[in-house]
Amino acid sequence: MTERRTPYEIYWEILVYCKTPRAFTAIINRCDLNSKTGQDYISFLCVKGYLSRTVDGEKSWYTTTEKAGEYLSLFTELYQKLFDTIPGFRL
Amino acid sequence: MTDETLSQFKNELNSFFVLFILNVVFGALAIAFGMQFMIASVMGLAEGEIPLRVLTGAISLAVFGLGLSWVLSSVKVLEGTTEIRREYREYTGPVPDEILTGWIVRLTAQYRENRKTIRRMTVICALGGCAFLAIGVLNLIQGITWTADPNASWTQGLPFIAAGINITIGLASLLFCGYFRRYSAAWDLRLDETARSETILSQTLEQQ
Repeated sequence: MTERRTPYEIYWEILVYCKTPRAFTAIINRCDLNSKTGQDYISFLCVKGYLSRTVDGEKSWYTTTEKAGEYLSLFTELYQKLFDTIPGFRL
Repeated sequence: MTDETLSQFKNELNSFFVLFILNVVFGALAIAFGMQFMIASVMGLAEGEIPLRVLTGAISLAVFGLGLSWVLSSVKVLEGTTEIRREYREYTGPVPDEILTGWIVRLTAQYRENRKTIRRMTVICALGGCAFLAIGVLNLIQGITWTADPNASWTQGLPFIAAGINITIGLASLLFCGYFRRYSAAWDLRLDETARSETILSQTLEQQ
């Protein structure tokens, strides 16, 4: 997805994707990020404790932690509200 | 909550898709008729009524350009949405919250990306609609002028047919302009809401 996304939307995408352990390259490919920004987002989520890092030989795996649950459910609620509460467009 | 949201999401995506498909069709018609009337006006310059033909030709040229811009803008906006629409149509069974939210995020990002293009399309629709109406009125004047000629053949009725086509396309364009305004209004409200959501999400991140 190359469209304009906010950092909160990117955090959400990373956290949802990492519900099963993922490698760094898989995350940046899936979330359409470059290495630099991908590293920034992932580091931020690790510092917050939303992502855990497991080192397996030369590879690192990132997994979403239980702590991220609150953010994920709040995000889902807020974004679904966009279609629930705001009168939509219909022909 | 998901069923209602999903239903609203589907309805809106379908409406958006139909609007843009119709928009591409009418844009293509604008190109075709713009070119046809432009050539007809230039070819008929030797037959007299030069000022009227030059005016029709100039407006037709503008319509041709607007039509081209109209189709290109529509296709650009349609690209991303088509992919989301295909995904949800192929999805069988109940849609999990996560998937639905993902589609909403993508649509939101799409609107952010195409906001300027959609605004430009609203203007193009209005300009195109006015240009088609103007050509339609000129066709009517041509038709009335020719009808007054006692030596006129059956072709005297052709400008009236052209006027009918142009006025229909003109009115349809103005209708699309209204739809685009409604679409933009709904999404601008949503973007305002996401800005408020960002504050809440930021507070949640700071707390932890």
